[in-house]
Amino acid sequence: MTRMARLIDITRCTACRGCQVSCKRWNQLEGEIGPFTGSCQSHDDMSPGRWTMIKFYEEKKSNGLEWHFRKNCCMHCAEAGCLKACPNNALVREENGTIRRIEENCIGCGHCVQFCPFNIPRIDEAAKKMRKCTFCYDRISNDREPSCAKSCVPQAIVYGTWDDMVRLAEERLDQAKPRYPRARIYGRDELGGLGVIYVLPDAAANYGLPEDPRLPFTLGLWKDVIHPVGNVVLGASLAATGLAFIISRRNVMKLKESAKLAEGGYHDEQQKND
Amino acid sequence: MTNHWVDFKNTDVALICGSNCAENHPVSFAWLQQARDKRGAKIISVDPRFTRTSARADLYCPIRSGTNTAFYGGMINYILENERFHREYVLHYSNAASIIRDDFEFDPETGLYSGYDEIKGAYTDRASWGYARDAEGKVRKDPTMQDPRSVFQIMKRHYSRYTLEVVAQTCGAPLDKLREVYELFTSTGQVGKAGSIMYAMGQTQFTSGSQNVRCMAIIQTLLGNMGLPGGGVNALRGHSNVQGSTDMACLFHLIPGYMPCPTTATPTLEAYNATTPAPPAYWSNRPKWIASLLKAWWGDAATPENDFVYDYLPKAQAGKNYSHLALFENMYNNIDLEGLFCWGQNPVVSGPNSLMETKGMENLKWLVCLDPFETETAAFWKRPGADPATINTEVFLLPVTTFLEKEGTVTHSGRLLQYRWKAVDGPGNVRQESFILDRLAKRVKALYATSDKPQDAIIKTLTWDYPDPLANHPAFIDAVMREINGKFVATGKLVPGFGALQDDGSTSCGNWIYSGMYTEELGNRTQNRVLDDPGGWGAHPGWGFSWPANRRIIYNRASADPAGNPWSEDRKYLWWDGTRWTGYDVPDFAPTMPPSAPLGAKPFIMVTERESRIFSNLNDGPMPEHYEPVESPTHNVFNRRQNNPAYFAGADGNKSLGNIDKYPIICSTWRVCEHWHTGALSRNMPWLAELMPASFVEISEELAREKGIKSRDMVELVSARGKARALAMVTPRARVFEINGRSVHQVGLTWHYGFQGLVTGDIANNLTPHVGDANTMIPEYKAFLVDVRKVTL
Repeated sequence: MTRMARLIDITRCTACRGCQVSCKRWNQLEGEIGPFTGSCQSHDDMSPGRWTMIKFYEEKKSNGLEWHFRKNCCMHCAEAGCLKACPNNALVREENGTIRRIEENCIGCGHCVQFCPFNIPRIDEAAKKMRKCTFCYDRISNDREPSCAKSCVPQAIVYGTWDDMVRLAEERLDQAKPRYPRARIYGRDELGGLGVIYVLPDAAANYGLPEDPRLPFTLGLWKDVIHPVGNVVLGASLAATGLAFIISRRNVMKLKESAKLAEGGYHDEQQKND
Repeated sequence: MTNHWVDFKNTDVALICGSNCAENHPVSFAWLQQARDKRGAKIISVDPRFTRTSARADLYCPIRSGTNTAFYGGMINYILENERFHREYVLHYSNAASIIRDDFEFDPETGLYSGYDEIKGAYTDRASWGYARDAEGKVRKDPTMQDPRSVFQIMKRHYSRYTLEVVAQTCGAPLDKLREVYELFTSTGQVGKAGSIMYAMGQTQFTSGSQNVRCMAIIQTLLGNMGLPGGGVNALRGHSNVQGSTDMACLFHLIPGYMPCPTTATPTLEAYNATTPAPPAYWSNRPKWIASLLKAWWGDAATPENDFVYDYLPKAQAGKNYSHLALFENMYNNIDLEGLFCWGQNPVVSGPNSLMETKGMENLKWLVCLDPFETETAAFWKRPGADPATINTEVFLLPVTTFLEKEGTVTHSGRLLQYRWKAVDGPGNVRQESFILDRLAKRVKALYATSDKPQDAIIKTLTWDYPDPLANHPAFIDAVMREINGKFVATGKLVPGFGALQDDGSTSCGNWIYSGMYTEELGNRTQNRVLDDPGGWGAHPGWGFSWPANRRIIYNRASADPAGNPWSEDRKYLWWDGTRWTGYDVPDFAPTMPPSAPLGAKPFIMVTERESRIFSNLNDGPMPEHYEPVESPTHNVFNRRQNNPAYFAGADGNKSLGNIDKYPIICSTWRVCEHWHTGALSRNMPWLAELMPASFVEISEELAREKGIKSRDMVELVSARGKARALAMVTPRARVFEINGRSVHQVGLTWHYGFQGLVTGDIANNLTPHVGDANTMIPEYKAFLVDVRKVTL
């Protein structure tokens, strides 16, 4: 299967937030009525039960006011920090590009949070699980578009193959340039190509995105090189990442057990109890 | 709308004024975006505050709330000064060449037209507004449009006072932006171009709301934008079925199909029919429609001999006002009203001067509310500050289904009727409103069944022979739709359209404009879902049914020149092929009337002159003139008449008005995407409630500095009517206006909140005045004065 992606064209979003509602509806996440944020933005940031949201940006420019709305969600990166940081194989890359979380492997340790350049994953402390956008894996692996794209009226969110979305982004960029001369594409070149290709009206930093997202060199090294040969060598320069990793490794089995018990125990145990 | 939603894709320039459609009608932007992509269309947003629509527009121009007529007057002047109008179109299709009577006058000093009665506050003698006529009684015309008494020259003189500078000062608009807007939109006066005006309550909810709409009609006529794809005057209605509700006459002054409500001044059918517009207005067929309506309602009891029991129709008292404003004023003063049915309405939140109106409800003996949730109206007796022990109103709350749980049609802004099938059953014992209506009718009829009193025949003979909705609701709806479409009485067969209706009792029809939606040949057309689009203009004639007669763009004869050829090949929509009118839409014209016929080049078929009226006849004048909102921060610089000379104030409206000294800030009310009207549904829906969890007021950075207010602070707004608290949203999108040499702040708040539901807030309409438009009595919700203070807890 080819890699899939979402185009998110900020220059077309009207902030109706249909995507925010349809995400909650499809995934059956509860409404979280919080305090007024002081802007039209619904909440200050993401939560374990809020996997996408529109962030609002008022920009005063020399030729007048601009107001932009960026849909924030998991980018499903080619070089995914979360996946590399996960100590327990709770994150996998599917062929269609989804960085998919495996519920039973996730222990909510929070490494992924630490190494996501976009600050996306959230830990559900009660369940000890990380939560984030699933790219509607259940929909797209059944030839349905993600629920956010489905609900997007002005076609600011479009779903398709990664290559097509890059091409469409280039087309959209040309269309946006007359109105936004500093418009640019974001996500094509970042981290090996993101699963979200943005058309931004201006610099990434204006919309809360890192200009040049990178993963720490040590992160890749740890999992790719050192981990396979065992916990033998601990270079001083790797201590920060490595040590935390080992500690969490030790907790894995314990947490795995407690998580299973909280769910009602293992399948065979349950039968026994019956 | 004269056009329809899909048609926005055909526009070259969209002027969005008095609407925040990106936010409140998100679907509109799907089509506007297409226009931008495929035609390079430009989008203009004119609004007191920078909205989500402004954010996606190509050009934004702020104007102060309540200055639409000045803004449009300036555009009319710009069109005429710079010869931007479509001369042929104006000459042939409007009344610009018609001569007005010699005794008509407008005094730019007093701001009054001839015929005004100062004591009555009304134009009581409008004879002088008529056309000058020749010896044969025909309207005198000057095809050069140079006669000083011609409509064209009267208009030119009238709007010459609306210079860019004066308009900019009154509107508080930046002059360069104003000029840019005028330049861009009037570019659609060129042949081959089309511009669409999109508006909503930001045009109508003013004491001069009707004149604002008239302005748009004049501009679109001057630019030749009526009847063409991508053009039109397009009201974006605030609810999926508001169009349907007005079509079916959920209004005080109409009966179905926009026929006037019978009054004591028209006690007989003869008297009623005498008020029918003269031929060749298409309205001259009205006697057929009223006869067919009476046949639908009273069946065999209605005969030509008894004037189709016209006597049975309740008559409004002539001259008496039955609008929302008057109704609640009477309630407040304990006059006439004993009980109230509230169907899908929540007036405690949506009515103007809410504190007064809600107090008035305490005088009701009984109140029936039909809603999916307990609304503020249903709970008015336990509202904050009320003492339930002292309120004797008996309140019934009948839970009803939401839109997904019921079956039937809705008619959207584009006049499109679409059937909606029920998706799921409602919870528990909730019912669709039409079931409740059916049971109510049957119970009332049962009460009169054995009566011998002649007056009770009104109820006894009323036809109510639908299948039982409890047994089969779709069958019930089907029968109602057939009745609305109309039948041949003799055979019971459905009529093919309103052209078949007669005034001799041989046909019945519940609403002439809906006639043709359900025919023997084509079935229930509102259920059609064919996507074909001949011509590619998005007319989609096989999708649902668009009244009248499935026309997608009305006045579409005007898309062709007088000779019947398209004005331009680029916008070929309807044309004369030598034997008949043909094209991509149902002709809004006699299909075989050649262009050479006496009326063959007159597309505006509804009115007697068959021309678009630049000069018309409304309660407040034949041409729009700027008057300040009733509560205004400035004086009227166009004339010395401060306010609309005929605005509706009822008995009490003027008693609670404030002025600039005490209330120095302009305030307006508006909606957000995430909430729906009074929030009765959306504030009970967690996924929507979380998006906009509190009532907020948008405040400029300048005002915030002045008052020491920060975002998230609680502020209190005070008007002459009441107070409302809301949280502050300090934003550069709100602004201070420079108006006639003075800086005035404008703030605004949403009116979606009340004291019920998952998220609550003060009712914004505590602040709004109880005055209304001179013609429609729509309240002036959009411009009034307040003071703002920070609440220190």
